Amino acid sequence: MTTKANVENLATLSRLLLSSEEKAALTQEVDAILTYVEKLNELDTSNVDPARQVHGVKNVYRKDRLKASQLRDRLLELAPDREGDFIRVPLVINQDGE
Amino acid sequence: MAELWQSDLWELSEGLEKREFSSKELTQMFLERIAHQEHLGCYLSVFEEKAIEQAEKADARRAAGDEVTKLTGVPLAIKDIITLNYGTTTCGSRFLEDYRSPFTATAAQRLLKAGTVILGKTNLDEFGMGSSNENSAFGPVKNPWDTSRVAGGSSGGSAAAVAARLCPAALGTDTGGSIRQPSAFCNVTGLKPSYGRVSRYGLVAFASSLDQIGPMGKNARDCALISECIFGRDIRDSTSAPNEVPLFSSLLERDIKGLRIGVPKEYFREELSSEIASAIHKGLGELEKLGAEIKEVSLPHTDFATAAYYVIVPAEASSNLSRFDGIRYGKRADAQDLISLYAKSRSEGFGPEVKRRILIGTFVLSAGYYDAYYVKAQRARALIARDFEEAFSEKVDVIAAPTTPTTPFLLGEKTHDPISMYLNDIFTVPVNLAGLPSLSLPCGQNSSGLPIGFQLIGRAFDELTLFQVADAFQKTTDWHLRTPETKTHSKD
Repeated sequence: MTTKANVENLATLSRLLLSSEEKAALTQEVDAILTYVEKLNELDTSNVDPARQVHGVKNVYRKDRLKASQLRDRLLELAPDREGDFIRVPLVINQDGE
Repeated sequence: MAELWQSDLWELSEGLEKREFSSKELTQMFLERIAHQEHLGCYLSVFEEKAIEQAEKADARRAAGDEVTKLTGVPLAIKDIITLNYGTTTCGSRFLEDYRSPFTATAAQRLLKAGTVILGKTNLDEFGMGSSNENSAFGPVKNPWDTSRVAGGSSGGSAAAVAARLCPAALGTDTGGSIRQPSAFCNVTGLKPSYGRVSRYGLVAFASSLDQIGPMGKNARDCALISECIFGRDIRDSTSAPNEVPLFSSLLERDIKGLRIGVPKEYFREELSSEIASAIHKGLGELEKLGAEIKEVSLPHTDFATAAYYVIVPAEASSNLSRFDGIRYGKRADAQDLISLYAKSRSEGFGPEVKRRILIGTFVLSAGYYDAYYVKAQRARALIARDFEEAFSEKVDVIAAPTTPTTPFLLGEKTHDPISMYLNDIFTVPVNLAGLPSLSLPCGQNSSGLPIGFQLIGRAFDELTLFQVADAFQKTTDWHLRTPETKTHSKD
């Protein structure tokens, strides 16, 4: 069966690991959902601009000013693994510098 | 204090003002009721101590003659996707099971500042993704009208808590119907405000161009009271609108004679249950008796709304949920390297519907499909918004429509068919895509006694007219006063 989307590839891009059962179910579901939304192709939208939002409020810039945050300690407390004031993560760069 | 749980916010406020009871007594009563109805699954956390503390403060504020508002001392519940800087904010997700927000959402902050008491955080579909509350990692909410049925979603906990009188009113959020659909399923009145009315600061982001916080309560006048507290521009959310907030509570009285109410013919379709159609026609008859003029209108692109919605929403959700990486907060799985840490944490932390939407979103945003799916859906969105603009610009002041095609379905009935679950939202999603306000209110019961709701849709930022029409309707009908028979109420 050919499907619209390669779920395995999408999972890699989305940083998700799927079991083989999940993969099988999601392949079918994603396919059914994409088939459903393709209903949009019946619409002639050649003269319509895409609407990203609809209420017309424009972005507002504010001054880039330094402000003290009171939340530093509470934010650090949320880290699943930490060492002092640092959040500990697994090795990102190989030890030989690659 | 018998029957106090039946009182609306205005009556509670008056009772507090006249010292007929204290906020502490009121709060204790609701906490006891909550403890007796745990089987409904309405609450994910209950703040026994903190709520009493807030109630005592409210009582002291009144006793000292300090400035009070109508909401001072009134207990409320809030959906567990709105942050408080105490307790947990789980979003109904394993990923955030132990997450303790360091800050409080603006909407909640405004309620706290007004002196309300927060009883607890209510259950929801994971991150707001769902129409039945069955996507909560902590178990579904049961409908108090029939516990074998769903309460709706994603604000199912808030709706069921109001219906079972486990709080007088609550906050929910609505991205594609998540306030209105559970309100209709549980016989509650709920408002999805215009996009931009309520600050989204502290609301965990799901689909940012659609998400709105709104009130759910026993009636429209209670929703009006909460709205005037939480609405308004917030510097912390640049999408919050600068529009002036009317003092809704003093403007409710209105003769609706001559008001033009449009009924979109596209909503009365095959999928709509005949019992709901007839309840809505009776409701429209009531509005006609009050002098409103009922007219047929057309919203020709209605049929495409659900398709556009289920492209735009997963796209925004997949992007928003990329922040959950297992590094700074939330769930972290054991892994040897960074990439597996991300993938394992996310896979263990997210439920099936969230994964489904992340995959769809990733697909429609990927280079080869972006224009064909995502941009196409945004163009369809523009057409859907235009349908409403045209109806409002010439013909009508308000649109009335069914909130849902069916009454509450059975738990488990739709969990294996995502599309049939999505189609439960056909009447609510167009409103979010157009950014309009919409209020769902009770208008009947089907032959098995299950509640039926209908929604009033307004012009952008015209919540006032919705409150006025709903209030007029609720003065002449008693659907909103009906409550389910719940089993264990040991209180007096």
